Amino acid sequence: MITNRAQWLILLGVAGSVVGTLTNKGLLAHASLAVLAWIFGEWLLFRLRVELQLRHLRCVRTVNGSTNDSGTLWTGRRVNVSVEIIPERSVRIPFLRLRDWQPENLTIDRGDQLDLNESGGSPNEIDASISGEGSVEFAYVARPKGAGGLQFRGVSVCVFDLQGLFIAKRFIPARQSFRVLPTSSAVDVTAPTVKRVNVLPPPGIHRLQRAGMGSELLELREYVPGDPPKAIAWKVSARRDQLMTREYESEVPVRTTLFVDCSFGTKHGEFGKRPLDQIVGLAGSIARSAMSVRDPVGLVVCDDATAQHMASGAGDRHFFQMLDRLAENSVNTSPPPVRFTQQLMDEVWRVCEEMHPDLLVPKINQVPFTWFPIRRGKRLERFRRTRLAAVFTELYSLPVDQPQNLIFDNARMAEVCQRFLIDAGYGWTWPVVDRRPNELQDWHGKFEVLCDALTRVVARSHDHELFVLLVDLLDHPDPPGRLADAIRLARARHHRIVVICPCPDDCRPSSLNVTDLGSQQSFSRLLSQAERARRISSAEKLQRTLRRLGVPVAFASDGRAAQLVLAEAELARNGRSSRIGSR
Amino acid sequence: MQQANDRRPRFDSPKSVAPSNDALAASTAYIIFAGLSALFVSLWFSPNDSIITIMVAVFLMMTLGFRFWSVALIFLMVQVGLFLVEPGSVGGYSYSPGSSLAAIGVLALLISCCRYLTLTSSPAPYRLSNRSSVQVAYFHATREPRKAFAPFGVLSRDDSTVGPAELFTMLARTVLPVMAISVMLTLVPLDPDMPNTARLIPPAVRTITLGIILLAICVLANSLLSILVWRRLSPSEARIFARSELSKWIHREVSRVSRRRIRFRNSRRH
Repeated sequence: MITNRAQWLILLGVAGSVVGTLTNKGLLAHASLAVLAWIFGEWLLFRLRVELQLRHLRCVRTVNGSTNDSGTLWTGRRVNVSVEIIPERSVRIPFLRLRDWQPENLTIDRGDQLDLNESGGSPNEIDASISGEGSVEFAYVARPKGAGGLQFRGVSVCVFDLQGLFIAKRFIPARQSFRVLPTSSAVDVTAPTVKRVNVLPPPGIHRLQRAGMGSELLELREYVPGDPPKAIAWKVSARRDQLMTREYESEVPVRTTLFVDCSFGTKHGEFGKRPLDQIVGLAGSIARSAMSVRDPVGLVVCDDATAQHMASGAGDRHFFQMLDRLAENSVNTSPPPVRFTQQLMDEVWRVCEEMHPDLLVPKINQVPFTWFPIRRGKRLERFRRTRLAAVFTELYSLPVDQPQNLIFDNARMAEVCQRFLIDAGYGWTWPVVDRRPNELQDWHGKFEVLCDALTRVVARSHDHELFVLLVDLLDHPDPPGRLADAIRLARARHHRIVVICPCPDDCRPSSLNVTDLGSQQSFSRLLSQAERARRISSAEKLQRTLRRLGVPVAFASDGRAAQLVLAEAELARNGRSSRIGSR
Repeated sequence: MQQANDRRPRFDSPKSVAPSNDALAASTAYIIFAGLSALFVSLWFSPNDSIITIMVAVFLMMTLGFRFWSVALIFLMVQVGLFLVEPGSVGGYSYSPGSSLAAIGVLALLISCCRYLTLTSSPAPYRLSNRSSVQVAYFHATREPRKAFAPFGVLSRDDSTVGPAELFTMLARTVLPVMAISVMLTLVPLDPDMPNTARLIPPAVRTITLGIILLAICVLANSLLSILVWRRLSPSEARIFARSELSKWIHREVSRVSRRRIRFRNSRRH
């Protein structure tokens, strides 16, 4: 690609040469022709470097000290990335800019490079020159934003000549795929859930303060005919002059089942700010805390159409399997179709220019001549669309007649564009996915699946189990009757249920001072305040509705949500109906 | 292995960190070269003209902040100066070391300015609209930080990785084109006695001849490079090229079929 500078110099050089030779001004002609010859020589050298030498560059990326093609990362934890560009043979490229492709699910840590931040530089970008077989290396620190997957694609290379006359872009592929597991945090339990006066009970054994066959004394009561003689407390009976029977505690674990909502609404948004990220993070924390006291934890993952069950279990292996399942369901795989828009095309073109610049070169990806459209803007759009169609046909091995179909079929083109962006690591945000108004059809599907799953789990459960519904209900504060019925059924079988809702703005819906609204100046802030007020009202309504059913509600952004779940587990273990109530 | 990450001096930012010694030396060297070249070029003008030329050159070098057009402006001014100062020669071009030295001076001036600009800011992409170009030029002039350029797709250089050897390659870049052009101009002389078969004045014939020779060299070089590059295409590139060549022949028919199919499908939906 020629720059403006070269364009102007060529224009002036040609003009000077023509004028100089026509008017027999030797110096002018000589100087102008020399400038043209110089630009021609630079062009030859630049093209040789780009076409021949650039192909010999290889990229090796080291992520957390490993160069493997796959691995595991954790959300929010530091990832040390080091990129090395190695020439396979001796090359000489005096000026190139290297930029490691940044997936959308990755945020680059700029904490130790404040100077560069102020001037707009990015740590994953570097200017360099390569001479001989010496390699270039740069490193940066990043953090995955949300659970699911993360793919490093390669390094974008921008080559210049030293005079700034020509620019060329290429992409050196270096693919590495990582699964990103949710980071679970340890939760401080308000009430002790383990016996502190003695050694830890063996795995799977818990104190349930109900009469049972355990080894710990629960209480003494009067003898009832039929009590086993070995249970009679003889010393106490002698003191009181009547037979007394010892009752022992029951030792059973409290099984916790997590119902995780992975429907469309929870996946929509930027990585790390999706409702699903809050849900998955909290599910991991709850599972870890419950397993730390040896409670078995089960998992039910619900989306708009299906529910996947994972049997209860305990131990590290089960915990990691559970995180794997959560991460797997956090990956955006099959999004709903999107409408074809110009913004979608622009975004796709931008990404394609960066990731596949070699496939968009006009000499290779040629556009057939047509008379229409005549207008320059429309014509440019048609050219772009034709080139993109050719690239998609190559990337996705489409049939040979597909390029023409993609050019004229907006729906099909939108589908392929969406697939391309999601493959490039884009989240379910506009323009990749449209948010449908209220998503009523999704709500119905989601509730059906959730009700079925809850009813099935209740049917299989024993008693005093804990069900945690991590469901986005804020936009739907009146759960349908069937969900209320399923909750009533679970409550009737003495199970405990907790509902935890994600919050889109990552802050707890709390009381909002309405008088503050007047002081907000900008329209967007007013809008966000109005949205927040709506959410608060909806949260209050939801809490009122579910409280009537005996179900506590918490919000994922609230740090006490996990504690609430553990407190409910403690209640289930004690057999109490409330924290201050009696058995 | 070059550990280039630890030194990333910023020239284009008011909050920049101090540039490294290498970078400072390179950019300073280029601006000194530019000044010296301007002085050298001005020697070819008469004393009064030389003062004016020096002033113009200094003024233009002060406007290097405008980035995009400054080199072109300098070149234009030099061309105008040469056009006004030099009397037209009747006898055509005769090789003289003086004219070659003048051409070397002009080329050294342009290359120095270009390199200075490349070191301190950025090459601009092609196909910026005029309005965008003006905005980007304004940002360059006001030394805006790099992020201000991002919406325009303009890249700015934030590091000087030019080795000292590049300073010497510049000399080769100035001498070789001038010598090549000298040879070519000597081979294609202005011949006033040439029979006027094409009903053109001799300078026009010479201009056309030179143009044809230059064009032939360009086409030949481009063809050779294309052949060289063609054999190194990746399989994906080759497939896309083959498909695009095929679609050139049949795209009208296939387009018609596609459009009818889509129309038929839409009509069935409604």
